[in-house]
Amino acid sequence: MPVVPTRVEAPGGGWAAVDRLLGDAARGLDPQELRVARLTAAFSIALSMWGPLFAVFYGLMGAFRLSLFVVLAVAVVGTSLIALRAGKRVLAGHQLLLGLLGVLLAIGAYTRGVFSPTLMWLPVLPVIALLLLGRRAALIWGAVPIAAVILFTVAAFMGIEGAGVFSGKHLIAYHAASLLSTVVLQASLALLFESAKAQMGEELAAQRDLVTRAEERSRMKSDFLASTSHELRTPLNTIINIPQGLLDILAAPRAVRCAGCSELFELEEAEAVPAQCPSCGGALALQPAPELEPATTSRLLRSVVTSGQHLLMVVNDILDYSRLEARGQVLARESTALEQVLQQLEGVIAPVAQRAGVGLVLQRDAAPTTQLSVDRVKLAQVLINLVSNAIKFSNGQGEVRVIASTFEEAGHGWVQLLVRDQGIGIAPENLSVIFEGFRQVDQGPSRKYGGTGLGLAISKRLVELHGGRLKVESALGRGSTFRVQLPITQSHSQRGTS
Amino acid sequence: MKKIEPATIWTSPVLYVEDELPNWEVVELRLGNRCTLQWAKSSEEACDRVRSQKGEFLAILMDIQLSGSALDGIQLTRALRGKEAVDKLPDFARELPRVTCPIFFVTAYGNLYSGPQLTDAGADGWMPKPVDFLKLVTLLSRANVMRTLETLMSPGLEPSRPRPAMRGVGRGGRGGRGEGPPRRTGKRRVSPSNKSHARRKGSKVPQPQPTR
Repeated sequence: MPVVPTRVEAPGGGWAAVDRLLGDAARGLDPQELRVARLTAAFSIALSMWGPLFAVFYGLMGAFRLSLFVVLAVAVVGTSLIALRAGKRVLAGHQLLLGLLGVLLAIGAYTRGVFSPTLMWLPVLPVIALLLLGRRAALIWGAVPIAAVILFTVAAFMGIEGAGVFSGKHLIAYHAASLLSTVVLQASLALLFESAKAQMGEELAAQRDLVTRAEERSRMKSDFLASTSHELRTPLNTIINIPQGLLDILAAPRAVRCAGCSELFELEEAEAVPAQCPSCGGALALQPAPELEPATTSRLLRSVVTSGQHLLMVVNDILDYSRLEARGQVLARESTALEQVLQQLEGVIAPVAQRAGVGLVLQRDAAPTTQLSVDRVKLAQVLINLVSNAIKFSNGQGEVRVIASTFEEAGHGWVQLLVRDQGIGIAPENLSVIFEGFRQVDQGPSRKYGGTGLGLAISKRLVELHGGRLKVESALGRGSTFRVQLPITQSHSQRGTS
Repeated sequence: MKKIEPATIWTSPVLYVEDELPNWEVVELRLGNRCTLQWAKSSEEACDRVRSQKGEFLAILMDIQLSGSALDGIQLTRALRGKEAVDKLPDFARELPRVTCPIFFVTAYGNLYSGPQLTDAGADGWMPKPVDFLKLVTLLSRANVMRTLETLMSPGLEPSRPRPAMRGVGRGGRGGRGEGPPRRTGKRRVSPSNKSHARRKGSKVPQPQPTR
């Protein structure tokens, strides 16, 4: 049965480095929180790397004061990682924004206020706030730059333009650098949104996949309920109703009929036949008791027994399957010779094949002494199931061949027990479903073969529990071949003479 | 000692469409003393029976799963009720006589097939297996009463309805003899003579009995 992932992993391997930086703070977060933490860290790192570039740039142009602002801002922004590692995502976000705002305003104030191209960075603040802290924070961090711009504008009207640290060629270089960095910044933000959208799409697809799988499981479950219901209720119909019908006849009360008025009367258990009819006084005659022909009775009773046995088989199948699904099955392994397994199989299955009019051949291509470490009962269950399936789907024609052989793979010895029939075969599209529980290729109400459809699912799980493999190949109309492959016990790994 | 009413013998045969022998055995044992039973093992056989009986059954009991049949019970019911497009049907299920009798599903599928799905197909009811025969007998008795009333209330049978005249034709298969003489008026009240215990013998089918 497919394992349903309980957590959607945020896709994208590039986050691994960021996650390492986050350390323990990244653990136990839901996808949304994790995304915010990662983004905060990413902004903090990106800005800390941007900063020194500017510090150097301003330094080269002799504006050391601006370099100092940038270094201070990098310190504030960079240390937001500490808050982040402590799990304080909101604090880290505000700290980061505050650092950015501080440096922008300081540089703005020293580069002629409202004329400063650095102020073009201000719209970034509400965007970052929206990504890291949500809508309310975005409103606040949107109001702050507006206030700053108003302040600078008012100052400019009042004639306070602020100092202009740059002039001449330096001013041109400063303007050009600011414009370029703004372009780069806007492009990065656009990229960020794009990747967030893609990530969302992936998550949506994963969700949809989950839903599809859940639907598939629920459909399989109702298929199971339907076929189990059918397999349980059919024998129960016989088991309940045949004895009841027989009882109705055997325990029917005696009745008398009046010769005069033809009325019918029922007698109490030990009541003697009264002399007169209470209605008309006529003579009463005992009605003949119902009869049961012994042949009919025994036929019906046999049917009850057969139904009971069938019911037992179905119940066993269901219990086996549930135990395997719950991983509660423990194998009682013992060292067993291959020949022993084959003989046991032959003893059980030969009469079945004979009754079905299907030939049965056991071909021994492996040394009979080849040792297997298996749970004899469980392995027999698997083989009997495979061979009786082969017989069932042969429709009374052809032969079923069981071939025991050995082979070697990657230095290990394996035993292969192959079961081949010449029956109806399995369509390629159905080969994958036959090992799933509660599935029959032919599921509909006009299906031809009975059974819970659990046999192969149980067999596959049992073989895998042995460390082996169960494989199938088939062609529609030309029969199927099932291969049980089991590892040979290490200590006794004499090769077969195949 | 108390007076009892003998169980009524239903006037028309009951058709049981069922692929599995054990289920047939059950119905044969439990209902065989009340009516003539006809068994159809497949959808094709069911159509043959319907044809030879001109669709005149007391009721049809229908299994959903019909192994190896061209149609399952639901499709067959749709065909019998004329609800299936003719070109979708196999030859044997075309041009069937009109089937107006109740059709009851008797199914071992728990609630996989919902009620509306069955009633849409034209069924009058359904019951799960194991069959509760008290209920089933009640259903069939009711069908019997309805059928009797219908016969009583339709005067001048002969000219308007060709059915009775055709009765003798094509009584098919097992127990095709369950039909009574043409029900002219239904007025003949017959005293319940020889009715009760003699019938108990499983499939021994009683001689035709007019309705009470």
